[in-house]
Amino acid sequence: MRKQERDNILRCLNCFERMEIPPKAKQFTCPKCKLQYYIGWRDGQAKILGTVEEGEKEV
Amino acid sequence: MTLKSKIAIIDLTKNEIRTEPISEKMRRLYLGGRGIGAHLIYNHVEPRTDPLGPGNVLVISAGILTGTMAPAASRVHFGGKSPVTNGFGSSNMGGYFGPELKFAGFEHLVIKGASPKPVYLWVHDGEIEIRDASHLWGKDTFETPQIIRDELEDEEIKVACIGLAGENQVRLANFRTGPKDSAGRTGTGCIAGSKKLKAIAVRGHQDLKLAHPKEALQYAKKVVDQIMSTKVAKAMSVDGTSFIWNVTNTSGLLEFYNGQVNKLENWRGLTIEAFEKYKTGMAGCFNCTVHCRHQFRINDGAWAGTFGEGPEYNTQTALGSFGADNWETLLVGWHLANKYGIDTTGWSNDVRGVMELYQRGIIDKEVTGGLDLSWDNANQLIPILLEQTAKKEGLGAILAEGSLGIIRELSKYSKDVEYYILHVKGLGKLGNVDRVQPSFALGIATSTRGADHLRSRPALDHYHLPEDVLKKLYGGYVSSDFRSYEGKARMVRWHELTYAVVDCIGTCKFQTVFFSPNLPAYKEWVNYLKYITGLEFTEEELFNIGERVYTLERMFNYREAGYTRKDDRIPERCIREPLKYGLPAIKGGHIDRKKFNKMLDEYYELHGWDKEGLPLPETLKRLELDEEPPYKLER
Repeated sequence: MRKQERDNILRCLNCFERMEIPPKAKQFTCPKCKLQYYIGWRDGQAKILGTVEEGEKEV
Repeated sequence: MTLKSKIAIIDLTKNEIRTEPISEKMRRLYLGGRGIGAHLIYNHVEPRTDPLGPGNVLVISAGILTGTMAPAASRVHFGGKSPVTNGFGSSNMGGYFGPELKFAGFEHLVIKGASPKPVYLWVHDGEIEIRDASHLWGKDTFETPQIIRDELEDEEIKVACIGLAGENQVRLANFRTGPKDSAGRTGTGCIAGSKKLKAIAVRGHQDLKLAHPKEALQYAKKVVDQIMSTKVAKAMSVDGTSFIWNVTNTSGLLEFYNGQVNKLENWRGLTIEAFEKYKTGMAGCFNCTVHCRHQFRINDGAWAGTFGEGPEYNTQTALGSFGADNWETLLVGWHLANKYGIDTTGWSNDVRGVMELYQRGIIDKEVTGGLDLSWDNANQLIPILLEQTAKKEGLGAILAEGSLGIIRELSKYSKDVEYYILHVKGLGKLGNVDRVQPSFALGIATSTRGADHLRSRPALDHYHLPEDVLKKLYGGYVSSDFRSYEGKARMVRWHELTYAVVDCIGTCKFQTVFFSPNLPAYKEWVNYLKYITGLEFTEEELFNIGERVYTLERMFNYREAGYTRKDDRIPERCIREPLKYGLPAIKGGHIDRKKFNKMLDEYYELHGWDKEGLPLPETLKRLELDEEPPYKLER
């Protein structure tokens, strides 16, 4: 059975933990490995733009 | 009926054309598209022939459902004996050419021999003419279609053609249609150039009558809804396949400077957000609801007024992998590669390798014709080197020979040249990292057309899906960790056979299980085929067709190039050099030779091949491939 895909769910690129991104959030920290991401929103979908560690890379 | 489309055998030496029906048996064994194409290539190429000689053939194959209401059923294959790999040449493209070929009454064109003068084929409503193309020789891939449309007085004619690179028999020359689509890989445009075949123009008004039209329409609607409900389809509708670039670069999964670096530091200029400045809209191929094709225009500077569609993520990574730091360079490179008709993936790989040879002092300006191949010069070098390659001038004369030719030519300067020209079976690698994911490495190592992602790449391996889901999908244990070797032979085999089925059907791979387990796969294909063609297959029967096709391509590779286990390899760099950058899960990754070899053994065993990777007699019998001519010839 197919599950509904949700636009605000992302997986951590490092530890694969599912991350539920609050609406319009610009940053998010993985609850498991604590990696911090810059988040963008395209057509209502959350999207990883890069890691905060990369520094000053917010688009 | 959809199934009434024919095979045309066109002999350019004898100036003869004949047609054949597609038999029920051929359908049952090979279905259509790449499958029947492989069968035709295997049987019509003169064994051990020169790929640029008249004994080679160019086979053009639309899928069994191409041109129908099946979602994104636009694909058409171009194949033959590859002048790049000397093995199985095969590449497919979308757009509108394939459907129009079907509307003209044909599913496959087998083009044999060679013409003494430039010609093009005019395929229309059951008829085929060989026409003079002297006036088209020297024209680029944007001019050629319009000249043909003007002279035949029909703006709806669809044209697939070669550019200057194909005419000059540049080994990476491709076929092009429309503003974007290319059958890019393995040098089929070069085969056409050797036959003096400039273009194929198609126009048809024939119906593709459906077996069960009402059910077919209802089912197509259901599947479109299924496709459009996925996140990946929504993302591609906005950002095209480039939607993934930020994620792969952030992770450390892209290769730059010939794989010396796996993350671009100065990356802001190449994000999809930075592309917005040039974007003018989105477009789609035949019967596609996703519309992943960017439309762009450059408004300022030396290239102001340049417009087009694309590029794909793959070209973004390829042209963006040797130091270019802005979209304009990529768009100009993309435009010129299309104009000349050159495979951006293979060409970029070869240029990266040659630039590293220059970086290491193995070659100098005497070899490069005075060009400074420093990475810092990438923005300037891309247009220069593309033109030189198409014209076979300066350094371009060496680049025009592809990875194997470059190694042959430049190895006189150092025995290390082969290490730096990254390829598998002569076909250059993508700009993606393949050394932290054993499944990706196995996929490029064993692909029947050389280093390539569209034959078997299990993108799902990066999704960390639950192992019970993976077991259900693949029929056995597969680790959900993309760095693991466990079960990955099974995973790769499943994907390569499944993608072969997709290529027989003729739909876009990106709207299948390639990108998401929620996108169409066997269940949907069984239903499409039943409603549209009336043919009934089980899921297992379709899977077996995929296996038959893949194995036949493997047989062709042995017959023509002697490819065995020794050639199912990955570039040494992927083994010897751990990744230097990226997220903790990525950094330090490399392929372990011993584990890779064990995985290769498992892969051969699953296929029913021997330790050298050659199909066993019982495998040939099981797949009814013992009815094909033998692949083991006296050497």
